[in-house]
Amino acid sequence: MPLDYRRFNGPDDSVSYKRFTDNYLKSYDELYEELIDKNSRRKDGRKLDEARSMCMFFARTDLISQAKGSAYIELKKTKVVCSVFDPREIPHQNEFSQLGQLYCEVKFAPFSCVRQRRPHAPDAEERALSVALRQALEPAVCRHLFPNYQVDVFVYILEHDGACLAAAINAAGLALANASVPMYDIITACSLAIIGEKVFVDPTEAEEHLAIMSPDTEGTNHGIITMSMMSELKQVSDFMQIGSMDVQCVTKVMEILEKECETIVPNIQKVLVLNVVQCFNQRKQLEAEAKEREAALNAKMEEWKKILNAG
Amino acid sequence: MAEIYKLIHPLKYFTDYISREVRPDGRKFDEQRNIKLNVNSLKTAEASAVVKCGNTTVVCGIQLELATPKAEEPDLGYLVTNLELPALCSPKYRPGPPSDHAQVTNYLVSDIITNSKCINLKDLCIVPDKLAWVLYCDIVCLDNDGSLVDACIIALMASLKTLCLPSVTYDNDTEDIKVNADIRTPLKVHGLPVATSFAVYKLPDRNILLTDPSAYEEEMCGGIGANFIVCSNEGLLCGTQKFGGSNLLSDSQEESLKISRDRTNVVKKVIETSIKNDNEFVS
Amino acid sequence: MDKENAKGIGKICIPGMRLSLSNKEFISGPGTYELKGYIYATLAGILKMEADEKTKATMVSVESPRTPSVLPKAGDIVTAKVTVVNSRMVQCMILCVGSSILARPYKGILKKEDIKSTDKDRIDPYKCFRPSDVILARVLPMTEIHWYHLSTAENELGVVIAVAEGSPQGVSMVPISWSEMQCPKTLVKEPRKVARVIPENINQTMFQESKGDTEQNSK
Repeated sequence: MPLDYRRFNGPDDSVSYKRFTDNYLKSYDELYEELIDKNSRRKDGRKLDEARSMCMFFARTDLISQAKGSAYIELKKTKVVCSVFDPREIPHQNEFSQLGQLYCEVKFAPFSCVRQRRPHAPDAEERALSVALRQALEPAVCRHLFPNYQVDVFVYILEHDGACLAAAINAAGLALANASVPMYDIITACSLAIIGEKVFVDPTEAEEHLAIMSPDTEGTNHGIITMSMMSELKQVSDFMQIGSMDVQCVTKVMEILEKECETIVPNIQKVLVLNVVQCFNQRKQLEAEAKEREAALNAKMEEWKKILNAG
Repeated sequence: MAEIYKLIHPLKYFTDYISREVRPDGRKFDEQRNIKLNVNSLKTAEASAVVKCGNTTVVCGIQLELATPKAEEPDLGYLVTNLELPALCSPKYRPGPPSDHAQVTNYLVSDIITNSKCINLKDLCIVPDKLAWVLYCDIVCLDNDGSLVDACIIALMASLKTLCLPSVTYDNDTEDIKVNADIRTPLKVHGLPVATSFAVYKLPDRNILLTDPSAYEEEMCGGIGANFIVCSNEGLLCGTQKFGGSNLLSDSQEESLKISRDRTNVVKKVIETSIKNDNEFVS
Repeated sequence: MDKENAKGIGKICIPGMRLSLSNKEFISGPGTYELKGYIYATLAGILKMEADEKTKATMVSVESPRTPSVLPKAGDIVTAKVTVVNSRMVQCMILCVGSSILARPYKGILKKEDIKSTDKDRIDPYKCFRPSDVILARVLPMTEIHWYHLSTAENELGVVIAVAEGSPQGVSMVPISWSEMQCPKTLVKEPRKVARVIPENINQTMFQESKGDTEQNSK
C-alpha cells in the first residue's frame, strides 16, 4: 500500500489484537449456531422477521449546524450521519445538462467496523455504496430544478452493525427533505440477509458476514438484498442483491421488503412534521421578538419627537 | 432584514456587534460555549468519546493493534492520532484528500498530545524489541463551528482516560502471542492538556480577544481556523500558536492565559463527571 | 403537546403527499408537482391555497420554512455584488433571489448591451458599475453552464449600494440623478447606472408619518 503523506501512519506490520484472542477462528457452523438461540430468537432478542425499525429506531434532523440539511439515524448499533448542502457548480463539466446531479459519498469512520480498521482513503466498498446511494436517490429528487448544478449528499457511518446501505438511504432521504430539496416522494430502504431457509430481516453485521460467506454445501441460498422504495408512488428506486439464491426465493422476499419499507415511512414522516412545526414556531418567536423591538424603538422615537417639539 | 444586511455589509454588521460589547450569538467576549461530553457510546471502538462545544461536534475512537517496536526505539509503543475533516462537517471542505488546513490542524493536535507527555510511550511497550501496542486514535469532526482544536483535545483525552488495555502474554521461545480480552488494565494518563482557542478582531482603536470563536467569527477575524491557540497542561504551556490576523497586545496575552487556566478546570470537571456517570451506568 | 404546538400553523405537508385533484379548479404551484391528474407536494412545509384572479382557479403550493434549495430562474430579480468590470461585460456574484438569501453565491454575467435599454451602442461599463457595487438585476434565460446572464435594462434595476473611491467602509453614496451618485462625506461624485428603488411599505408609512409631522409643525 502506498504511504499516505498527508496523515500519520502507524507501523506497517500492526495487527489487531483480536487476532490473538482465543476465540478468533470459528468455523461456519459455530458462527451459525451463535446467531439464533433455541427459541429462534436472534442475539439481540428479535424474532427472525422483526426489523429494528419498531423499537430500536431513532432519527433526528438538524444536528449539523453548518449544513443546509442533516439527519442522524440509529438502528440500535448502526449509527449514520448525513448532511446535504446547497447546489454547487459541477467541477470539470463542459456540457449543458438539463438535469442536475447528485453527488453522493459514503464514508466509514476508521473505528466503525469490528473486524478491521478502515483506511482513510476511500476503498472499493465505500465507492460501491456511494454509487448505490446515488442511484437510489436520483429518481426521488426533482433534478430538473437545478440544471448544470449538483447537490452534495455526504454520509458518514460512525458504527456499522449491518444494514448500513439501508440506513444511509433512509438518512439521506430525510436530510434531503430537511434541506428542502424538492422531492417526488419520501424514500425508505430496507435490507435482509438470507442464509439457507432462514430470512433475517434487517440483519446485524454478524448475520451479514455469514450470509456473504458461502457455505460448504452447494446450492444453498445465501446473500443480502437491499431495496429502496418511494412508498406513495409505489416505485422501487434501487434493488441490490449479492450472493447466490434462486428466483423463487427473491420473489418471496420482495413482499417482506416492501412491507418493511412501508413501516419505516411513518417514522420518517413523524420527524419531518415535527421539524416543520419547530421551524414555524421558531420563526413566530423571532417575529414576535422583532415586533417587540420595533415597538420599543417607536416608543423611543415618540419620546424624542416630544422632546424635539417641546424644545 | 438582518440576514440581508449581514450579506451585503459583512464587516459593518460584525463591527456593529463588537463595538457594542456583544458577539453576534449573544455571548460576552470572554464567554465560552457549553461543553457536552459522552464517553464509550461507540461499541466498535475500544474507547470513544463524543464532544459538543456549542455546535462543534467531534467524535474520537481508539482502536488497539499489536506490532513490533521500531528498531531505533525498541522500548516505545506507538500513539497514532489522526484528525479527519470529512466534507460533511462544513461547506468549506471538498471531498477528496485532506486539505492543507486539515493537515495543519491534524499536526497541531498530534503535536499537543506528544509534547504534553500525557501518555508515556514506554507504558505501551509489552516486550522490548518484540511487541508493543499501537494506539490508533481517530478523531472525526461531524460539525465544524469553530474552535476545532479545543474539542479534539477534549475528545481525545476523554477517550484515552477510559481506555483499558487487555492483558498480553508473550512466549519468548515460541514467539507465541496470547491476548486475554477479559482481563484489562487502565492506561496511565499523566495530566490533562486543554486547548483554548481565541480569535483576535481589530477595531479601529483597539484589538478584541474573542474566546472560543464560532466558525463565523473565525472567518471574520481573517483566516480559516482560530487565530490564537493556547494549550496548557497542569499549569505548563504545551503549545501556543498564533496564526495570521491582527497583532496581540501583551495585556491581552495575559488575559488569554488566565482564561485558558479557568477553562482547564471546567474541562477537567466535565471529563471526570462524564467518566463517573459512565461507570455508574455500566455497574 | 405536539398538537398544541402545531395549532395555528396550518396544514403540514411532506414530500409525496397527495394534495388535491389537478384540473381547471386546482393548478399546481411552487413546491408541488402534477402526476396522473393529482397534485403532490415536493417540499416539507405548509399548504397554501390561493385563488388566482385571472384563471379563477386555486393555486396549490407548499411553503417551506427554509429557503428551498433551488437556483435563480429566468425572470427572477436578484441582488448581486460586482466583482469584475471590463469593456465588454460585468461579472458579479448573485447573493439573493427575491427576498431569500443564497447560502452559496452563484456567478452572474452582465453583458454590455444588457446594461441599459437606450443608447445601447454608447454604453461604457466603467461608467455604470465598479467592483463591490451592490446591484439589482433580472435573470435572463440560461444559455451557458455555470453563468447566469443578467440584465439591468429597466429603470428599477441597477446600482443600489455603492461606496465612492476613498470613502470609509459603510458610507454609501446617495443617488443624485439617473447616472450619478455622490458620497455624503467626501462629496465625491461618481457615474453609475442608478436603480430607482421603489420604497417598501415600511418606508412609505414612515414617509407619510413624517409628512404628517411637518404639517403639524407648520400649524
